[in-house]
Amino acid sequence: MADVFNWQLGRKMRYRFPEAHPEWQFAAVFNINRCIACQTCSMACKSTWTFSEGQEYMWWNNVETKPYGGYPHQWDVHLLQMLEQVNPGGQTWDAANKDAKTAPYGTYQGMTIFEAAAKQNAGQEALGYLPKDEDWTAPNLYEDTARNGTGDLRRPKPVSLPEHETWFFYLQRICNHCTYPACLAACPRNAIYKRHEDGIVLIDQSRCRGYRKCAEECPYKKPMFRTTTRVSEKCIACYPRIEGADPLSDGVPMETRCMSACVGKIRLQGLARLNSDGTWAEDRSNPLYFLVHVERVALPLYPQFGTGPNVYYIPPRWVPRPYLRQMFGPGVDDAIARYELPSRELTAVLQLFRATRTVIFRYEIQEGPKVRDVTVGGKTWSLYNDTVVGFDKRGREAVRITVMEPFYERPSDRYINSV
Amino acid sequence: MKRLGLTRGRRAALPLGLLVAAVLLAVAGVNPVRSQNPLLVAPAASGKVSTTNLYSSVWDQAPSVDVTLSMQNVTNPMGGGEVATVRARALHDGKRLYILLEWGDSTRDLTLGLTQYGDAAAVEFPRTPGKTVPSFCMGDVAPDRGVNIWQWRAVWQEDIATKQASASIQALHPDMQVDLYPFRNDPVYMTARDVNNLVSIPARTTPIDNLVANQFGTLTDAPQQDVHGLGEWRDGRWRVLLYRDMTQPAGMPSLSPGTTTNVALAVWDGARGNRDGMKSVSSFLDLQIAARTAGGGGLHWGAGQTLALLIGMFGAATVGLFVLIYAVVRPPER
Repeated sequence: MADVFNWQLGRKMRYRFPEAHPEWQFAAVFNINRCIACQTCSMACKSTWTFSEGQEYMWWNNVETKPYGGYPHQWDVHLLQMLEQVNPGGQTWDAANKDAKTAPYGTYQGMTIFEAAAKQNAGQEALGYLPKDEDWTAPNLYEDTARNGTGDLRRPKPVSLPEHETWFFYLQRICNHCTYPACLAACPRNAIYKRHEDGIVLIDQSRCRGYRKCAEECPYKKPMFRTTTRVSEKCIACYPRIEGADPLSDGVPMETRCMSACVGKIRLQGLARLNSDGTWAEDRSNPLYFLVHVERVALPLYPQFGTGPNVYYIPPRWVPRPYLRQMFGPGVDDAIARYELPSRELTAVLQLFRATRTVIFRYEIQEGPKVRDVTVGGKTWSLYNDTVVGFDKRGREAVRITVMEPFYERPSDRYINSV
Repeated sequence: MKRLGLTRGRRAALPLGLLVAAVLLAVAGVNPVRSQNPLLVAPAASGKVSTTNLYSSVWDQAPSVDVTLSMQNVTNPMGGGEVATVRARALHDGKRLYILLEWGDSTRDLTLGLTQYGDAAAVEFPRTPGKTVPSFCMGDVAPDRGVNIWQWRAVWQEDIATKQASASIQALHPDMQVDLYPFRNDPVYMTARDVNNLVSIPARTTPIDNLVANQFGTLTDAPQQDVHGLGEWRDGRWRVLLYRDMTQPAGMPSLSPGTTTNVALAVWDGARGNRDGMKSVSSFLDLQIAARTAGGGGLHWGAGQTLALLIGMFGAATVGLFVLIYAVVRPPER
């Protein structure tokens, strides 16, 4: 048992293994505000990795509808309840105790799932539970069921901004390739490992003996048991693409299937260079570093679990803040404020989402003319048509895109029926 | 002795009673092992040891030991302890060592669904018998202090019986509709099978894995899968036979008649969520491979043994009688 530093919590915590961080970390930003739940990501993953016998229920990528949906059912509220039972009323943050690098969201004062397991003394590494068969039966049960402010679904109240009385949102989930994976700590056989080159967490298919401790202790429920091979499998972050081994990748890291198939343009995936303490190395022109550490508009999912998840979410603007604070930590209010009135640079960087399937390691912004001024909530906000250029791992230009959609007006007399 | 309030005659009868009880237990072939110095003797079998009939009378030759099991509470995940005892017997035929385990289990559990686990049993030996005694908890890190484990699983037994991977999706969900499984016969999409994970292969020839370990978390398939056996569930009890050639290649424990090694036992009850370290486990017993000739350290039960037992019983009764007479006839102390 070791004490390790978790920057998402702003403090040290207990973990089975001492710190040994990868050189690069697989990471992604999902903009919840943009998702339309078309499930193209889910199908891209399914049709690539989990279409075989025994994998029928496996959705390494799933999109669920909050607050009621979840796959497996109630995965998050179930664990939150367990955590609450072990440490009643204790899951609080000291949001004032901040540091830009080592405690960007404040300091977590509650218990992680590792600490709760130790307190419970139940003979396992992390607090967790194994979902039942029926919890996996319907990936989108309660889909589009809104939470009504009155508690009466038949008579929803009218909408009032900025928060709806009646609300729901889509949560896109893959394996978080955590900094301190609970699945890895839980595996009694050491069959799970985190790769040095990119931080991707994998289950060694030759060592796994199907004990399902990973499925039990992963808070996000992404390792899944396959009855036909009798071992567990999980999201592999499309590692051949990350390695640049895919024929289409041209030898440089390429985004995963779920990312590059995203119709709503909500996803941006990349690799973050790490310091030896697991914090992100200063990399100002990396779009992920900018979104997570400079603008801090993207936040980890349930950071209080303590695993250091590496998918970051731009929280939905319209959802009641207490719910979001529980899900994304105390950084929610600042994140939404920055997203609602984005800086000139953030406006440009947001254009990079789904502009290319090549992983962008660096971006540049070429300033363009002001388009217009807009008044939002009494404040003036200016829109500029800047151009953002993304570069691949070798420094080659991978994408060039403007803030404003290019607009062409075709002469009306040249084409019949304007076609 | 006065505290017990026993008369001299009763005091004398106590050791006699214990002696008689010991003799009776010996006749019944039961060795009630607690935690200290348990001994499992593998006599040389007279006659062929059946590998298909677990209820063969050949096992009457082997003294049974009721081994106390307990929960595994040394490393995570902890658990087990629900199976209190396992009855162990051992035989050898000069070439192979046979171990027969028997324990009560009201359910016959195969690994089927996502939250269901299979019954299993295992025996563990030091990899270097007679030289070092490693920790019975999966051995030690030092190369010469590893352990060799034979693990039998009920689901593999079922696979062999049904000649297929019994936990198929069709068996689990008979009414499930799937339009198409692309590349169904391409092994690359059955990943664990494709990398020859023994847990995953569908056409097994033995229900027992031969494994090695040097400390927790290191359990690995041995290069040679040469442990065979059979398990049968009958009337709420599992009976499992495990056997292997006693002569082994370098690195694996070779045994021979007249030698002693150690053996630890473990049982998993699938219905109680047992798997991995969540098991009912014993510490090391001494395993004595008896020499082939009768009376040479073995408990080969033949005419000689019967005669010896009768002489022993007669002797014990005579001594007891004399003690009794002495206690009654001698005047009480003042």
